[in-house]
Amino acid sequence: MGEDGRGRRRGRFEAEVLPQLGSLYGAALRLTRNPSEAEDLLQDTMLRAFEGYDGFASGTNLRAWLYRILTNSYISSYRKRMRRPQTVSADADEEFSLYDRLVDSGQTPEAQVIDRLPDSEVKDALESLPEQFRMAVLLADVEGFSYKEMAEIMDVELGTVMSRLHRGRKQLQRVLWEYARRRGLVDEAEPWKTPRRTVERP
Amino acid sequence: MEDAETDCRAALKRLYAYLDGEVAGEDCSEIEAHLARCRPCLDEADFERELKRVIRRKCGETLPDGLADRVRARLRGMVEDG
Ligand SMILES: [Zn+2]
Repeated sequence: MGEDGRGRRRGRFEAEVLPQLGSLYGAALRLTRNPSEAEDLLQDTMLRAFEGYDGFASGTNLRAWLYRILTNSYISSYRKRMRRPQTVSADADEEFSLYDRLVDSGQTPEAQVIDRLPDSEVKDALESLPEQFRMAVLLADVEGFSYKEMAEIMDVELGTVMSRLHRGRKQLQRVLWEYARRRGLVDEAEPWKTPRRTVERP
Repeated sequence: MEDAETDCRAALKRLYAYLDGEVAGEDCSEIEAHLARCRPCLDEADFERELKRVIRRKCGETLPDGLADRVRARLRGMVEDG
């Protein structure tokens, strides 16, 4: 390709892809948990995306394609450098219900308690999740991807997407509950005092 | 009350998928009909929906100063090198 062709391609790439930088950076930061690693990951993602841009069929899902590149770049280059231990065990908390805890503690409306946590603590809670669960919650709740898009990005079956998302949300809820308790936003002095619904959770 | 509880269980089982916009057609109408007549499930659905919003809002990031320019510069360098 001549100089002009490459220049035009770059122009098109910048116009289409650079508007996604902000949300990609957020995802990179949640994955690497470090601003300078996040910038490196974002740069790598952009270079890989630019190299693969000719193969990307316009009209298909650009955002999902970019997140898939980001995810793969993270897995291949950054993950092994991460040292911070996972703080939540992979099979705990399936049944945890933040809603029940908040109702028991007499807080209404319940979601406002979590809204009172500083942003940094909610980010920290998300970052404390094991990687696959963190990714699922990030893609669904922060980035708003559909299950089908998530399956493409994470390269797994739809059922796996749903199970990771469910477990990720439950674990996140437990961490948020702990943070709210530590800050004195909820009182668990006499748990289970109020009558509870006994409906079995999925 | 066994029937009502079975209904609740069925609704809660699909609550996340429903809130994620992943339940369509008849299944969706069924859940909505249940939420319309069951206050406890409606309250729980409202909580989960609001929690999703809170998480989204609190996990937002703004691009650090100069990062977009650094990305552009790398891309331009690549075009010139290549
Ligand atoms: Zn119900």
